[in-house]
Amino acid sequence: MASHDVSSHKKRASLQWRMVPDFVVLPRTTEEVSRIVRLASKAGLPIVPRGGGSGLVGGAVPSRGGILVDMRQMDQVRNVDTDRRTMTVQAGRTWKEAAEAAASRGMFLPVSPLGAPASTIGGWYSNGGVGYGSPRYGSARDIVLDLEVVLPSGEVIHTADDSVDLGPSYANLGPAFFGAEGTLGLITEATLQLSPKPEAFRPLAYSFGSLWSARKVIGALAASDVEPYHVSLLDPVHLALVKRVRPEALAPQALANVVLEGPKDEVVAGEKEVDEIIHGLGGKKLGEDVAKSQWDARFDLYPARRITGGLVVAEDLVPLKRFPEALRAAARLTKGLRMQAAVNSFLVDPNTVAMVPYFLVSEGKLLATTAVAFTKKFGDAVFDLDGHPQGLGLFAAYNFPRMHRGVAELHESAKAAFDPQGLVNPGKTLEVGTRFGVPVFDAVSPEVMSFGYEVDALLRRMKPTAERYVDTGGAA
Amino acid sequence: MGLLVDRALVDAAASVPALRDLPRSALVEALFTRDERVLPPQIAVILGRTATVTLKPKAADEIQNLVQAANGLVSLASVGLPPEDHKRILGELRGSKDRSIPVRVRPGTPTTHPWIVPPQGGIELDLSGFTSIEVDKEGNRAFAAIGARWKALYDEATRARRLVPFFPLVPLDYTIGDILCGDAVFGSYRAPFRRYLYAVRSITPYGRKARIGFEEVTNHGTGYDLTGLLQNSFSEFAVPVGAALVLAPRPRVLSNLVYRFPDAKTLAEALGKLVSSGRPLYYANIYDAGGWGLSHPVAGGPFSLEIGIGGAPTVVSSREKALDALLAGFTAKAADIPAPHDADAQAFARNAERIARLLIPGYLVAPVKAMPELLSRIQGIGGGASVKVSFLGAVRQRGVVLIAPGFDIPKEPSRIFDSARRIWEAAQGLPGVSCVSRLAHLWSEDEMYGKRLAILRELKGRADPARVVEPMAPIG
Repeated sequence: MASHDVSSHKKRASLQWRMVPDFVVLPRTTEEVSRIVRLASKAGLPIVPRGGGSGLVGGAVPSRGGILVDMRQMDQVRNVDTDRRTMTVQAGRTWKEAAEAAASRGMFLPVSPLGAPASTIGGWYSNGGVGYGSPRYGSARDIVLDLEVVLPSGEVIHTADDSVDLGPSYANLGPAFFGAEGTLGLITEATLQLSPKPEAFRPLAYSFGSLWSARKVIGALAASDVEPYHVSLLDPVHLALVKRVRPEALAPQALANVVLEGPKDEVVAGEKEVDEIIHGLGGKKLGEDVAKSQWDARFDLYPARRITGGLVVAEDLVPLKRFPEALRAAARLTKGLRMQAAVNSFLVDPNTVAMVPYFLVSEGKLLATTAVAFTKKFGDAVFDLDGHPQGLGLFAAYNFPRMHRGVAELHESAKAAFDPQGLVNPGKTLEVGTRFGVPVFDAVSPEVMSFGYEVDALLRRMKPTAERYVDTGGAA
Repeated sequence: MGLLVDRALVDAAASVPALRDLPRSALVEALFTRDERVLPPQIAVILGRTATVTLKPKAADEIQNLVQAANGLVSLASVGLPPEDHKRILGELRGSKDRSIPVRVRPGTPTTHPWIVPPQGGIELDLSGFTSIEVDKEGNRAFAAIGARWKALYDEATRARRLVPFFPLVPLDYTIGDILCGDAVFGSYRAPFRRYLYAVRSITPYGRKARIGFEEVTNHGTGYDLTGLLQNSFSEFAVPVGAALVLAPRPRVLSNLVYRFPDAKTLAEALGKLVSSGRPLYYANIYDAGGWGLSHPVAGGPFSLEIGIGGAPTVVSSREKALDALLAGFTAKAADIPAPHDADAQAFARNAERIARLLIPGYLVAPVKAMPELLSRIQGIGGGASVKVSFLGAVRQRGVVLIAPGFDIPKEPSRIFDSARRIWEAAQGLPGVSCVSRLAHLWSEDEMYGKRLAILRELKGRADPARVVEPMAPIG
């Protein structure tokens, strides 16, 4: 197993987890999934569902072998109902393909992940996805009306009655699977809420001298009367990394990308207001071609991976009012840990910014993987700012107690209610498991795992040289 | 109590020999109306029980102490109950095999009708004294205690230059607890209430203070979304004491537009255009003449559509013109009538009191197109029984209307059951239309729904092994 969700720290991770499954199956139907699950249950084998493998925390990677259920062949669109504005689609289809299927019927899939070409319907929902369109339409949770799920018993259930409004429905189990990382059952199909295709769709781009000088953009737009479809802030380091791989790309600068959608007159009025706000903050509007090319390349955020072959991406949700503090914390950490990281951010809702820092890792180099200490230390900083890191999986499960102090039993009860035998995706999310199925050695405490990252951080700080892959030419 | 507790009693009663042959809806009717001719003594005993004591705690610490005592973790003497109450509880414990004391939260406004199962002895917590509201001065958030009125939150947010973006389907004087634990329906034009709920402060069944969700940011990718899963049923899993809620920045101009329509068909046609337009609205309420009259101080037409829009003055003005053109078929328009929630607190409470006299047995969710036929069927129910029916409703951007029919009849159990049954029947056979009511969910024999409830019941059992928080009523 050497897919991109573990490759950057594969050697190191394999000390703790057996990330190689005993079997890989590629079902095409729910019936097949159910039969596989029943068989696994009978044999006592762990079952790990896997979508596009674009998760950030190893949620779809086995911890103790078992059966890996690769869902990607379950990619059929079952139905697009333009009257009811719904689409029923198998869970292995990617969000980009699902959006294309909706568009071909004149409809609009209003939210999508940053990795939509690879991220599958079931995968993003299981990871608690926020992304493009979130300020206006919410998250994956807000557009999934119903899920078909194969439970660990092999039984197939629907999480809700899809004709019922999400508000007053009783016993809607859908939210249990949102963020569950495949630990409660295998999502096989989803019914999604579509919207009418917007009359106008307008990407805008604004340039700033530095990330710090652009720090108020997201807050100012969230506080304004404009309701943007998307607002992101790209780090000059990010643009420098992209430019190193693609010389024709934009020069390093801090970039605010804003997307408006809706009726033409509203979009035109919105653009004027956004122009005024960003001009007032010192931003310079870039041409339509730049804005459009930024939007067209929205799913291609990490070409810089080619520089070293290794890439680590994190995602943390931060209160908008504390965003500048979070930017400072990230800058302090990259300096202290003697590394170079790009910190891109986007607006999620009126109070929440998703910060998506990433950095390159040269696997062959001594101490290179100690850079993952950044994700731990930045996560700690985000907790201190009343936010939270996103994702638990294998690599970040140590965060669970801090996220859910006092309510861990309720989460554990949910796991036990769905999966009493603990067969589905064990040893992650709620617990820090190991590759060993022997009592005492089958788990490590979150404190021990955190300590490992602290040692990494210490080693980084002692490094004689800093890692720098690009020069931002003064923009920082 | 709650849905799970009621449903468990209905399921258990169905296996009692004397009731085994009753059709399920007749069984629910007998239980709901306390029909002594039908119910055997062991069931009648359950339905006749009351709380041993009712307490009105002032702080979360008191509840925590109480729940710990109910668990047997601390002595009952440490709770500081009045001597008479202490004696009563001790008496109850002596007469019971169970060593735990059941604790139940008393909700604020029963939206439709009381649950079937009353408190089975133990302690009933009246949390109406928990009324604090804190609006975040820097962010778009508020914390509201469980007994705080939604209207008080709305007014407090207005004073802080914020907007509460979720509105009641029926303008009753609801508390926050009614949304978390009852069947009050809230939402915006764009999204159901769930999108506006960040976190719930609770006392867990183990007596720990816990925060379910995150108070400053949205909860994504942190394990199971328990705030979404437990909505409407929080008090069956924990004792909720308050909620962190999402607000919106207050727009520069906020306008309430009212359009009159001659009949339901013309209104439905206009709504079809509205939901396809992509126009951003805060709310879109619909009323027939009766519903309008109950909630507004001035007379209305046969049907009215009330829309909330906001933004920069020029944007609001052009949006209003666009809506005028879009909603063809309206016979009159007004822009100077305040929405029910913008009335002063006393007027709002007076209106709410008038509306609360209506019998609202549940809600109907219908595609916009199906609305005229649905309304006609429900009018038929009223007409057939010579009963006046009023309609209050709300439109959702996803293309559906939520309708609350209010019958002008006394709220007697037999009439409540009868009207719930009739609106449920009215929804049958209409494509995409569903009925959401507590009673319908009890008589539902849908297999999938039963499976979902079984999982929730399992979760409840595991989360509260000592059966402290709203335990199921055992048939002895």
